[in-house]
Amino acid sequence: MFEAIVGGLTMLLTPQAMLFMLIGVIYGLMVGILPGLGGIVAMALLLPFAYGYETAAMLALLLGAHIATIWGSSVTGILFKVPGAAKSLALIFDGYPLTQQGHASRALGASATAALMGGILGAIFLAVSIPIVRPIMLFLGPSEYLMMALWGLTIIATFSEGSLLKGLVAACIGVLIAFIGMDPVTATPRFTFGSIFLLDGISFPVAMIGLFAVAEMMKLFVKGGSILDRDVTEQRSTVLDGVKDAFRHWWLVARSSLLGVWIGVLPGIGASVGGIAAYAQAVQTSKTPERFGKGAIEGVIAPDATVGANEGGGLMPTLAFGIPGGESMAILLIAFISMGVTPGPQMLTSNLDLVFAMMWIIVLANALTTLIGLAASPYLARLPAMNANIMVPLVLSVCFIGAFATRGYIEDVVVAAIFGGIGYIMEKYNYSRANLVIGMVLAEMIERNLHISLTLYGDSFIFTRPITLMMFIFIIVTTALPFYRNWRRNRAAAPAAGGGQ
Amino acid sequence: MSRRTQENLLAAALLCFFIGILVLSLDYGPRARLVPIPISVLALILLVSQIVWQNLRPADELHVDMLEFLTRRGVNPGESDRADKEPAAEAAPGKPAAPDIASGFGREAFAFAKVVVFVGLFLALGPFPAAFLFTFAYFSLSRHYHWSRALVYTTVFTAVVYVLFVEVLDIQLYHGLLEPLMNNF
Repeated sequence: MFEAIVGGLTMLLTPQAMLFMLIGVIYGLMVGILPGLGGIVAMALLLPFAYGYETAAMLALLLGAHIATIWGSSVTGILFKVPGAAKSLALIFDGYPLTQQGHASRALGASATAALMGGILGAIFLAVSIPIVRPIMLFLGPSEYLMMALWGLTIIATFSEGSLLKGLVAACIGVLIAFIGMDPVTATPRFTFGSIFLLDGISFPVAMIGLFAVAEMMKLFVKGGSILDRDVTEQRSTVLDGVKDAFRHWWLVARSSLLGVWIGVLPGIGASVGGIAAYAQAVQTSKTPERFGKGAIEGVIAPDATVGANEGGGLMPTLAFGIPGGESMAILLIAFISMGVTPGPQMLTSNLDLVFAMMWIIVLANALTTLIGLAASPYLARLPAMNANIMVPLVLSVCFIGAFATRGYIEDVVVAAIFGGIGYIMEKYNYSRANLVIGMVLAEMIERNLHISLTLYGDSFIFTRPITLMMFIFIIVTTALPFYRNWRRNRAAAPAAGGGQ
Repeated sequence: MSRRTQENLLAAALLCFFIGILVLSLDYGPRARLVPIPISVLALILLVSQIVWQNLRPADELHVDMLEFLTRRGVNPGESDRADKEPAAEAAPGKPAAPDIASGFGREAFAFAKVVVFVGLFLALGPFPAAFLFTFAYFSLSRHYHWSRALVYTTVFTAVVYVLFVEVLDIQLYHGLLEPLMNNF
């Protein structure tokens, strides 16, 4: 195994592979920053150019671009509340409040460092776990996936401060919006009103562009000034503070990375769920959960570490079984086949040096992205100070073109505008937009796995599958824990207050 | 229009939305409606509770915190980010809130109108002419830049966006609804 690790690194240490990785990373950062376009688009566009070169160089180009898009997406999420891709959604919950408070540099520094640490931990986990992951992967079924999605829903209470009822209503709206289009289980067109465009459903990136970016620009126009709060005239922290934050919360990074790896390993879950799940575990394990959603640095660190580690995990089923761990891994699978490399169990024996080369690409591309990111962060952090008169037309233009570019449908531009209006109204009347998006993300996973679980295991599947039951109890406990903590805190505070009077 | 009326109107619109979803779902097969029906029923119950709750509370306590109710958790007034969203809180000291609400509505209507205009331009002319016209008009009419400077900045911006999306990312262009008309000339 050690020989394969060294062999993998040697494959990468060629001028061509290094140059391709650099090109991939810079290109990935650019694509990541554009709203609606994520790693899948970046890899898909590079695919036609990635033939006729060294295998390691082609993989460095594709994976390097994909990894860099992750941090690129985080940048706009933190600075403008415009998540570049679905997987960076959780970054806006605390990243944007940090920007408003003048801590954009710190948030970007923490984000880049957490992504790097997550990426490295994910790669190490990939290397270590190759022999043990396979049986565990095969052991988990749709009912366990369903429980994981339900666990993601427990986060809703966090974003409902001010009105849990409205927060739950928003989540219901999100779930129902996700059902627009062809039902994948029964092939029934739902809520399409005969429209062919709606058969494909509402594009998630387009909805996000509308809900957050367009709505935020409308809000900025109404408010005037700039994104930064009026009393914040300069940055109150540095990139280095963010780097230190990521190291200070090393245990959170480790937990989130492990979560990211597992979500990557399980096919069909996707990093967008991973980011939300990471945020949920950060809130639930925090001693001060009330800080979340108002600019807690842990709310930036946890999702970025998870998404960074997700790539290592996603490679596992792709390489070992030929089952893509996510959409981007499906494109990588196409690249493998066109290079004459056949993924499957033999990949872990006959092509082990290539597997480790990919592990090294994840580590090096993450390091390169972080270096570039940390260097650029102080300049990027100045962007939110731009006046609304400049910001609104520029961001709106890029957002609407991005919405169109997502699928090439002109109707998506109208959808983005409609969601912009919905987002503005929701923000004004305190219906959580975050809950709507969480409902949208998890709805399909919940419905699909519920159907499969009912078919495979019967109506009482929760009680007949021990792991499902354990996960169900875990969900109930983690949901009840914040309520219990508050009850205990208030109980402890009541005699003190009474004594004081 | 008072805040309570606005909240009630929005809740009523959402109520119609969920009833519509419920009625539509009844037409689907048992598996296709397995999740939509319970979700819309749950949403209806939540919404009715919200309407009842918000109409039983004083006008200054419209943001019902069920979490606070369930856990008896208090929110420090200074920490609440809701307060600054209230029209009354935005009013300057000593001034009545009503004119601010009116001007707020005006700006909101203008914000919605801008988005509609941009989408209209996009549909009619295609993405890049729309981005150029909208950005130039915005820069000029807001008087942030002199028109000549606005023209230069807009041209550079549009060119950069064009290169990124069309040349680098190879996005297929949409030419707008007016293109067939233009071709006739």
